[in-house]
Formats: sequence, C-alpha cells, structure tokens
Amino acid sequence: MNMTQLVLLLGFLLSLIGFWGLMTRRDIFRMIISFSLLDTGVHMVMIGIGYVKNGTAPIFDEALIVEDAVGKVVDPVPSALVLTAIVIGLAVTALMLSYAVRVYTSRKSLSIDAVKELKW
Amino acid sequence: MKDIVLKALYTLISLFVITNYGLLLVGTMARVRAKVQGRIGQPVWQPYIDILKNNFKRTGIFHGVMFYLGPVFRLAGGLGTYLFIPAVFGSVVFVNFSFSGDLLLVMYFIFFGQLGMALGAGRGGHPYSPIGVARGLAQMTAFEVPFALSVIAIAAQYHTLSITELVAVQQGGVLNWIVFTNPLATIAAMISFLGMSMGNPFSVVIAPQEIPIGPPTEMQSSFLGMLQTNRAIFNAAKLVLFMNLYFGGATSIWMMIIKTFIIYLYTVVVGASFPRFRTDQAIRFFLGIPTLIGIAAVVLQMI
Amino acid sequence: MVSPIYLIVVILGAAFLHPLFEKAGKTASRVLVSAVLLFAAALPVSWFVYLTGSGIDAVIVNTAGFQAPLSINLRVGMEETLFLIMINTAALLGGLFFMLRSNPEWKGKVQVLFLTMLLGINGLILTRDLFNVFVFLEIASISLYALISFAKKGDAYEAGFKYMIAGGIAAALFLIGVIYIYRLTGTLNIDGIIAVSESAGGNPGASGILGGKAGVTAVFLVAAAMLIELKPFPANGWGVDAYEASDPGISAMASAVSATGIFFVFYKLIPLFSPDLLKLITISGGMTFFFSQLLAMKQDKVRRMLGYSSIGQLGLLILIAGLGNILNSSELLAGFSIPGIPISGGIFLLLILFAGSHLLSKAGLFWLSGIMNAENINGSGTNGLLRKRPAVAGLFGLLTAALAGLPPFPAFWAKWILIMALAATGNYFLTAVILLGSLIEAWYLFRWFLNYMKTEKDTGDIHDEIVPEDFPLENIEDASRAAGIPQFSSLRSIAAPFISALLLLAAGILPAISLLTANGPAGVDETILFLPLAALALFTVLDVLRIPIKLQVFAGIAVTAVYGAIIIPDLDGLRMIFGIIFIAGSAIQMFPLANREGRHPGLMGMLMAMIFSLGNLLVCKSSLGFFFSWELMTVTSFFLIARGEKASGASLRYLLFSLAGAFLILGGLAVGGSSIFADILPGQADTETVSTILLGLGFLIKMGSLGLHIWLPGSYAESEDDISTFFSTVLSKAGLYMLFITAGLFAAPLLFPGRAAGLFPQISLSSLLGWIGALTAFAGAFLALFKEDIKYTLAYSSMGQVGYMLLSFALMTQLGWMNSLYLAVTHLLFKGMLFVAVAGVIYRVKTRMMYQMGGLISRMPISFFTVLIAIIALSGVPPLTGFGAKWMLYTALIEKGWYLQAGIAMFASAIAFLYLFRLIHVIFLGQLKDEHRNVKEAPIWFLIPQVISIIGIMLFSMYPNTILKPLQNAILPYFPTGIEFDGYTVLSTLGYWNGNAVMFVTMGVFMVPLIWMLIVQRKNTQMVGQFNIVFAAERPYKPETTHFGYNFFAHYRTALGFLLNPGVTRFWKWTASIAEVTGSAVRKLYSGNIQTYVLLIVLYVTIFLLLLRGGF
Repeated sequence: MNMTQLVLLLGFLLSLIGFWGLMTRRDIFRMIISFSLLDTGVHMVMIGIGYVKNGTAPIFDEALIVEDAVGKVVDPVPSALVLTAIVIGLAVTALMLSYAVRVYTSRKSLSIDAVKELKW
Repeated sequence: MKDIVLKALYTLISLFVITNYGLLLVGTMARVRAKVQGRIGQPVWQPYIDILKNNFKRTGIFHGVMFYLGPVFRLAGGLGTYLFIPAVFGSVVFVNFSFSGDLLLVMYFIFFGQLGMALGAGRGGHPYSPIGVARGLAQMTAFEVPFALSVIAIAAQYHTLSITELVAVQQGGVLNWIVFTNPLATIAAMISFLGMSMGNPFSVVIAPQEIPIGPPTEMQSSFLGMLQTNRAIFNAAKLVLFMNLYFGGATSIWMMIIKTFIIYLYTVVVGASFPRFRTDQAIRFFLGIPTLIGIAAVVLQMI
Repeated sequence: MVSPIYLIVVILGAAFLHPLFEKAGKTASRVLVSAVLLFAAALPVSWFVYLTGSGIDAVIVNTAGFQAPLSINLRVGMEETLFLIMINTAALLGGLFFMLRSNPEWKGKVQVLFLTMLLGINGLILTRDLFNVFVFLEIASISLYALISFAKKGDAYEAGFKYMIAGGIAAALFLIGVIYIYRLTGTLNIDGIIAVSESAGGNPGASGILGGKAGVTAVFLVAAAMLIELKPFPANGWGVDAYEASDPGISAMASAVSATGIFFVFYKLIPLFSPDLLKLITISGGMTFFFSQLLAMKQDKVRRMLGYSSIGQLGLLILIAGLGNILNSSELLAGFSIPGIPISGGIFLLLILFAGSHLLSKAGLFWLSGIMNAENINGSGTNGLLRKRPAVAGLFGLLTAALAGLPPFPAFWAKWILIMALAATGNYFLTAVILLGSLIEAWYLFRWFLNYMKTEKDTGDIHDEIVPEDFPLENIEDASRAAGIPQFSSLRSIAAPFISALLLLAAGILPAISLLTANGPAGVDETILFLPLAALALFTVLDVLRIPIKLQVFAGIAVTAVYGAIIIPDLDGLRMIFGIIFIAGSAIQMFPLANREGRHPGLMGMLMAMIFSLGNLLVCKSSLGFFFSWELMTVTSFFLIARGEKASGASLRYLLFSLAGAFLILGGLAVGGSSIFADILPGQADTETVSTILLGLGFLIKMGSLGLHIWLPGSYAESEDDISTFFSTVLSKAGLYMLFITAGLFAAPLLFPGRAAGLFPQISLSSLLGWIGALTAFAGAFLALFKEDIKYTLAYSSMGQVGYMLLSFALMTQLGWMNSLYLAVTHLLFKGMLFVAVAGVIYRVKTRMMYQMGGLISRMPISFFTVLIAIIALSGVPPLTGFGAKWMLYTALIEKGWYLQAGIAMFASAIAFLYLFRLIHVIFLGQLKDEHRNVKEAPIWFLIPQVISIIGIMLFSMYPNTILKPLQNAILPYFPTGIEFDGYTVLSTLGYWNGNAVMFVTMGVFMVPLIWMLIVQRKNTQMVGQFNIVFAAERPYKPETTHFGYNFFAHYRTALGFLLNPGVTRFWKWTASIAEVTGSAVRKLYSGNIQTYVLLIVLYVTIFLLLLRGGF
C-alpha cells in the first residue's frame, strides 16, 4: 500500500467515523465534531484522488519541464477544490456552532433528544 | 257533435249502472259479513240511505278549499279509474274511455283520487287523518309490488298492456283465462287485491272498529256522502279491472256482475276469517311470499 | 445582451455594500434591495427578449479570460432564462412581501442573506462547472440555513440545525462524486463531461468512461446528493421541519426559489445519468410524490402540510425529469408549445409549467398563511371570519385551486399533457399513482381552505340531516368567540400573493391558447371555452364595483339568454335538448337570486362560470376541451356549494368525488385515446373496455348513482337554498349528457380477452348501467322517505330521479332514450319548482325541518299549488307529465324484457309517492304553527320560475306531442322508430297512451262531483277554524301536539329499516381510513430526531446504490 492509497483509506475511514458519530452521539457538539471529521475525511479523499505518485508540485522550474509535465505533476485542480471546500466547511461548521448555541439558549440542553419537537 | 252527445249518453249509462251496482254490492256484502258474524245486518239498500242522508244534511263545515276539494278529487279518481277500464268486452256502451290509455294508466290513475283525498283530509288538521294516510300509503307501496310484478308477467306473456286486448286473448274458453294460463301471476295479484280492498287482514289502515281513523275522520255531510259514493264506484272499478285481467273479462253486463260478485266475495270471506296485521307486518307480508310468487311469475316469462 | 456576470456581480455587490446603505438608513437599504431584486427579475426578461429576437440557442459566457475547460463558464439559454425569470420574480415578490410587512421588520442581515441566497440560486442555474455548482449550492444553502433562524424561536433553531446536518451530508456526497468524475474524465465542465462520456460510449454513462463501476458510483453520488437536496422520500424529515418552523416568507423562498433552483441543477445534470439511474430516479420521484401527499394529508400544522406538498411537487418534477426520454416520444408532448416560448415539444415545457405553477402558488400560500396567522389546519378562532374578507378568501381559493392543478391554471394543462403522454407510452401504473396523489393533494388543500372558510355553526362533517333535540340545552353564548373581521398580521403584504395569483392566471391562459385554438393538437378552434372565465372575471369586476346583486342577477339572466340564443340553434338534436335544459333551465332558476340583498361576492361570477362551462360541454370538440369544461364546472360548482352555511364537509366530499370522477374520465380518455369525441353513438365501439369503464364511472359519480352517491345529499342540501336547485335540476344531467354522447361505448358487447370471453357472452355495460339505474331509483326514493329535513328529502329524490334517467338510457331503445330525455326535461321543471318553492318556504319560515312547519297552505297558497303540481308531475299520477314518463319507462322496460328492473322501478315509484305526500302534507297541511301565523307568500322572485314551470308542465301534459315529437326527432338518427303517433295517441308495441284525452277525461270527472258539491253545499256551509276538530273528545290547543309530521313513516322504518344501513358510507369511510392509516404509519418514520434522518439518508443512498449496481 502506498501513501496515496493510505490517504484515501484514512479519508474514507475518517468519513465513516464521522457518519458513525453523527448517528450515535447524542451531544450536539460531538455531532458537530463528527461532522467536521466527515468533512475532513472527504477532503482527504479528494487529495488522495488528485495525487499522482512521485509527482511534483505543479510549478514549472528545472525539475519540471513543460514537455513531460502532464505525467509528472500533481493535478492542481483537486488541491484548489479542497481549499475551497475547506473554506466552505469552515463556514458551515461556524454556522452549526452558532446554531448549537441558539438551540442551547432556547432548549436549555445540548442533547439531541431536546431537538425533536418538530416531527411527524 | 252527435258522436259527443252519444258518447256522453253512453258514459252516463255506464256510470249509472256501475254506481248502483257498486252500492248494492256494498250493501250485500255488509249483510254477508253480518251473517258470518251471526247478526241480521243492515238492509241491502242501507248505502243509499246513508248517502242521501249525508247529502241532505242541513249544515256542513269545512276547513279551507283543499278540504272542500278532497272528496271531489276522490270521487273524480274513482270515476276516472272506472272510465279508463273497458267494463264489458265488445260493448259500445261500456267501453268507456279506455282509448285514452292502457293498463298503466289505470294503475296510476288510482293514485289520483288517493292523493287528492289525502290532501283534503290533511287540510282538516286532524292528526288521525294523516296517520291513516301514512298507513294506507305505506301499505299501498307494499301491495303494489306483487301486483306490479303480476302485471309485468302477463304483459310479457301476451305482449300487450292494453286491457281490451288482454280480455280478447282470454276469450274462447275458460282455460284461456289468465288464472289458468298464468296461475302464479294471478295468485300474486289476488293476494295484493286483499290489501287493495282494505279488508281484514289489511284493515288497520282504516281501523273501522275502534277509532275513526284515516281520511274520513273530519268528513261529514255531503263530503262524507261523496266518499261513500266513491267507495262503491271505486270498488266496482277495481273488481272490473281484476276480472278483466285474470278472469276472462265479461261479454255481457250479467257476466260482469257474477264475476265481480264472486271476486268480492273472496275478499269478504278472507276478511271474515282472518285477524289483522299491523302496518309494518303487512308491509313485510306483501314483500315476502306474494312478491316471491310475483318474481317467480316474471322469471318464468324470462326463460 | 447584458452579460450574466452582471447578475452575479450586482447581487453580490449589493450584498457587500448593504451595510453601508444600512448606515444611511432603513429606507436606503430597502431601496437598494428592491432595486437589486428588480434588476435580477428584469435581466432574465431582457435575455428572453434577446434570445427570442435573435433566434440564438444559448449564449456561453466564459470567465477570467479563459475558454471553458480552464475556466468556469456560464450558459444563458432559453431554459436557464425561463427558470431565472420564474425564480427571480418569486424572489422579487418575496422581497415585496417582507417589505410591506411590519413585523418582524425587514432589515439588516436578513436582507443580506436573502440576496446571497438569491445569488447562490442564480449562480446554480447559470454555471456549467460541476465544482462551481457545489460552491453556489453552499452559498445558497448557508444563506438559507441562516435565514431559517430569522424566525427567532426554538423550533426554527432546531429545524435549522437539522437542515444543516442533512445538507452537510449531501455536500460531502456531492464532493466525493465530483472528484471521482474529475478523476475519470479530467474535466469539471459539465458539457465536457457529457462530451467525454458520450464520445466514449455513445449512450451516456452506459459503457463509456463513466460506465464502469467507479463511474457509475461517481455519477450516482452526484445524483444522490442533488436528490437529497431535493428531499426524497423517506429521507426528507428535516426539510418539512424547516418549512414548518421558518418564517412564512422564508418558507416561501425555500420552496419557490431554493428548491426550484436546485431542481434546475438536477435537470441540467440529467444527460450524465444512465437509463438505469433515471429509472430509479423516476421511482424515487414517484414515491416522494405519492407519500408526501399521504403525509401532508395527516398534518394539522398548515406550513408543515404545505412543506410536504412542496416536497411532493418536487417529487413530481423529478419523476417527469426521470421519464424524459420516454415522455418525449409521445406525440402530444412533441406537438405541444406555449405561445411566445420558442421551445416546442419536450418535457421541458411540462417542467416549466409544473414548476412555475408550484412556485407561484406555493409561495403565495406560504405568504397567505403568514398574513392570516394560519398555524393550525382547523383554523380555530378564524371560523366564518374569512367570509367577511371576500378578497382574501377569493385569493386563498385561487391559489389553492392553482396548486391543486384545477383549470385554468398552468398545472391543469401540464397534468393533462402528462397523463396523456404517460398513458400513450403505456405507463398506466404511474398514471394511476399521479392521479391518486393529485386527488389526495386536492383533498387536504381544500380541507384547509374550507376549514378557514366555514362558519362557526359548521362542524365540518355534516353530510346528513341533523334533527334538533326535543329539549335542547340552553344556548350559551360563547364569550371567547372572536368577533368582527379577522386579525391579519399585515394585510398590505397581500400584494405578493395577489400578484402571484394574477401571474398564475396569465400563465394558465398561455398554454390554453396553444392547446385549445386551431393551432393546437386537436386542430379545432375552441376559444368559446374561455367564456366561463370571462364571465367570472366580468362578474368579479361587478362585485368589486359594488353593483347591487339584483342588477347582477338580471345581467346574469340576460347574458345567459344571449349565450343560449347563440349556441343552442347550432346544436344537433340531442345536444339541443340538453342545451335547453342547461341554459334555459339555469336562466329561469336565476330569478330567486334577485331576492337577495346586500353583497354576495363571487356568487354570480361562479354561477355564470358554472353555467357557461356546462353549456360549453355541448360545443366542445376535443377531449381536452371537454375535460377543461368538465373540470371548470366541477370547480365552480364546488365554490358555489361551499358558500352554504354548514356546507364545508359536504362541499369537500363533493370536490373529492367530483375530482375522482374527473380523474377517472381523464384516465379513460388517456387509455382510450382522444378520439372519443370524433363521432360516437351506437354502432361503433372499438375502444377498450377499460376506457369505457373509467369513463362510465366518472359520469356515474356526477350523476350520483348508488354506491357513488354519498357526496350528493349533503351537497344538494347544504348549499344555499336558492342555489341547490341548479345542482339538482341542471348539473346532475351533465353526467347523463355525457352518457348519451358516448353511448356507443356502453351499448357494445364487452370484449373480454381470452377465456373470460366465453363466460359473459354479449353482455354490454349498458345492462349493468340499467341495474345501477334501477337500484339508484329505489335507493333515492327509499332514503328520501325518512328525512325530516326537506332539502335532504329533495336531494335524495333527485338522486332517485336521475336513477330513472339512467335506467331509461341504459335500455338503448328508442322509447328508453325518449323517456330518459323526457324525464330530463320534465325533471328540470318539476324539481325546479319543488326546490324553488321550498326555498321560498324556508326563506319565510327559517327552518328546514318539515315537522316544524305545517298548515302553510293558508299563508302560502301559490307555493302550495306549485308543490302540488310538482308532486303530481313527479309521482307519475295522470294527467300530468309524470305519467308519460312512467308509461314510456314501463313500456320500454317490458319491451326490452327487463321485467325485474321494471318491478323495482314500480316499487321505487310507489315509494316516491310516499315521500312526496309527506312533503306536501307536513309542510302545507295539518296545523299551522303559532309562529307562522303572519308568514307571507314567498317573494315574487321565487314565484316567477314556479309559474313558468307550471305553464310548461301544463302545456306538456295537455299536448304531450309538443315535447315527444322533438325528442323523437332528436334521437331519430340513432334508432329506427318503434312508436307511432295517431293524433295525440302514442302507440307502442305494447300499449297506447293519449295524454290529451286523459286530460279531458280527468277534467270531466273532476267537474262532475265539483258541480254536485257546489249544488249540495250551496247553503248552510261554513268554514271553521284551525282547532275546530274533535280530538279525543277535546279540542287541541297547540298546533305542535296536533301536527302529525315527525317520523311520518315510522311503520315503514319498522318494516324495512334495515335497508337504511349506511353500508356505502361505511365503505367509503373505510377506503379513506386506509389512506389515513397508511399516512399515520408512514409518518412514524419522521421521529423528529436528526439521527434517524441521517440514518434514513444513509439507507436511502445505500439502497439506491445497491439497486443501481445490482448488488454489492
């Protein structure tokens, strides 16, 4: 198993842990953390998919000449995507946390069991 | 013009005959009933006396126009019913107005008098009148069913609803009578005839013994007289109808008298022999066996 | 053309600059937001003009100075433009709603978030880059998450949190899918991906780059993420929570702007999806649609119900999108176009109609629910108050009708095309599911509407008479009852839903123009079919102008007369007879309405629309034209019934059954092909049996045949007294008319395939119809017998009479048909007389209980006379017209050999005699009550139609040929003549009938005793008072104790009461309870716990994937 596959595997593992946490933890903050784990796992998967074995950074210098660039460089797009996704994930997490605070002020509890008034 | 005068004359003769016959029939049967019960009974001409007395009473009271018209409707219904039936087969005098319509017309014209009478009685404001009407109408709906089935059966059998034609097909021998060609239909109809003539066991409608119930409750003087006249005519009309439908009709006035007398006697005999049904029992009775017989008669025509 | 970049730039810029404007003051920020929203709505319109003008397909705009694969590009095609117009208009209206509302105030962050959400959605629609979709999706979602908290209450926070978790999962799935697709195809550009997958495989996704296991999974993940954003069943609990808890303005935006925008992305990605995936998407959409409707039915919170409805509608859109390739092959859809829109054919037009209709109507209803402070579906506290706000009520009704897909709104046309296309392509199961779902949707939407409209006297479940108790408890005035006009939170905001309704109306007319004019698929010009709408509009204007009701009624009569004069002469025989019934009958019966005082908003408009749509049934040429008129008639009559004081329950049932009937008819038309109207009538019948049965059931529902009748008594009886007559005498014959028009279908022997053919040789549906008719006649009469409430008596009586018409029709003989038509005409006369006379009586004595009346003959002699004539005519007693009907009926039945049916009919007619006598006796005869001593005769307006009808009855009775001959001629093309006329005598093969002679003989025998009586009674006769009767040796002193009217046929009940067992009602209640129980069971899934929802999402995705890949 090489590093890329490891990253991929860890990424999936992290995502699954995130899912598991989302479904089993009763505390809202833990759920948010699980969600972050899920997000991070997804980001790792993205990196893992984008990585080319033994590739270099996509910067043209003496180590990388234009002719064989395609085979050697790591595709920059996934990295860019991940950066964007991280930013967005941050915003989502922040909003979630502020919701958690609001939920706590209105329901006086951080247990997810307090958050099922709306149903059926 | 001559035709019309002649027709009017025939009609008057026909009505005169049927009225007198009807009145005498009522009187006779009252005596028969008295004999059965071990009494002497009233004279045969008692109905004449009653009618005359009522018509010549000095005072008469009424409850509004509809009350006034009630007996008129009733008698009109009786007269009309009779006039739509050819009373004697082949007779010019007694053919009446049967060209106006067939059996269905007669069946429905019977309602005409009943409706008018019921309205007049209702106008009287006496609660017993509508109670009697409600019972009478309810019983009527029930006995109409076997009768209607019977009529349908014979109409299907002979492919006609014309009374004249029905009488015509029964000519030429006793065995041509519908009572023999279609006994089931006849039985159903004759049972419902018991209800139609409102004798026992279906007499609760008029409840003659204990309380004066039904339409005549508030009627007196000439109103009552008119009702009594109608009873005679209407009775005779129904007898003539049944005679025409099931017993071969009549080719002469005497034959008509004999046949209708026997048919009437049958209701009196049954009436004298049986106790009374309540209205709901009567309804169930008619919708039971007689209806089944009627259905059987109809089904026999279908296969 | 203005570049789409500006759309994004302006919105984004405004969002950034907003705080600065806010500093300058509230007004400044409001002006900014309004200007931006206006710009956002106007820009796509300018594109639309540009695109249609230049004929260019689409404009692609690259960003950052690079060509497409290297940069993000935006596409402005007709599809994007149309969706943007819809969405941005909704957003503009949403802004208007907030702006006009005072509480909570529209300012600050909310405005910014509103703009960013709109930005996200606009970006979503324009972009062609898959990752960019993700970015815009997150912008829109995060804004929406934050907007949910705008309601500032615990529920909203809860809903927002749940929404975020679910949205986050969807985003994660989407990301993984995108990156895999990128890995496989090397591009993020949607067009690029499509090109790659197609060039490699031909069939998208089937065997190309995306056809392998990884590719399938990747595309699936993207699709699943979009589906989850669109809230598929059962993974959608958080969605409804958000709809329920948010501010209504936000819910409206979530449904109209956000969901529609995301759906467009889904639509954009469809070329990537393989047929297998599309099939599963279709199934998922169908399930979502159906189950959401079931769940919505069980809701008691208004916005939660609307939320489920939104989700259901999205499910329908997904279903259509998934079926795209199949539906596009249907001819009807291919030939369909909307005027002004250069796209012709294809599902996109369907989508735009459904989406647009849903967007405007749902947003409108959300807004309205906010304005009316509608929390609970039962509307406690608002009862009856909405009636004092006719404009709001009207708007409410319009939006509800639009959402339910009733004509003339866009969804109606779309539904027609969809169903036709589905059936044409053999998707019968889906057809049934969609129709059933639509029915449930109409049910709960109108239940909501009626709950808010009903008066406080109305318990909402009145389907039968309610006899007051002997000694009622003291009426305690409910102090808590809200008085005055309803308290609306901010009535000014009603501008937003009002504009929506106007747009919906306009949008409804557009497809109609294409479908119903000469350019349409049917190729016939049916512009006249819009007449009902024009009439509705005209009379609404009169209402707004406060024209007095009397003038409106006269205008209505005049307009109806003109309409009749124009269309009736051009009709052929059969249609002409029904034309006279429908139009002339209606015109005459409008007179009693002139007795009304005050304002009656909507009354004349709906009535005129109903009459015209009824009349239009006669002139429509295509199946669509027919169905349009039929549904319009249903809708307008529903609104008329709903006006009744206690009619909410009955009118809901009416709507439900009528719509079910209409859908059955739609199904029948769809299955049988649309040639139904080409040239029907006996002789040819090559249409399928299924189609015939569906059509027949639809017509029978309208006629209220036994088993399908339970809507009838309540609707006829609980509608207003002067309106009932239209339903009974005119409307009930619409079903009969349609049976006549399609008679050929029913006369033909049934074609059972295969082995069953031997079992039922030569049985035609008409013999079944005959039995139904006979039993209906009996049941109607029998049920009428025991009613104390006069209107229920008449309602059941109508049912019975229509049963006779059905029986006669089913005979399929000349005499039978003549009798059916004869009954139809005379029923109009005598039942109209009865209803109008009774309406007059009720108007005077203020009660409907017959036993509370009595003796009214002395106070209302004319009404008495009318009723007398009417019951004689109805019961069939010679010499009036009724006997003709009986004579023809029995003669025809016996000729045909239907002896048992004849027996039942005779029994039924005898029973009819019972209730008729009761009716006239208990009302007019017997004892006059003290409180009625000063009652006057009915107003002149009630008497006019009565007198006209009496004249009609008398004329037809005296000279039966005046009606029999035209009837005979009308059906001459279809049957060889079997009856003969000899002067006034009608001769059948069985017997004869001379109506004229009967009349004269009857007059004669009536005059003889009358003259005798007058002679004998000429002196010493006196009229006596009411109590001058001998009653158990005492004189009664109270009319109440002496009037025999209550439970008049008690002995009948004893004898045959077991027949009154309401088995049919029980059957239908049981059917309804199945739906309810299913709904209850399914909604247990929605535990309210977000973790359950996450589990459902995981399960949904997993099962979906397993199905797609056919295993692990």
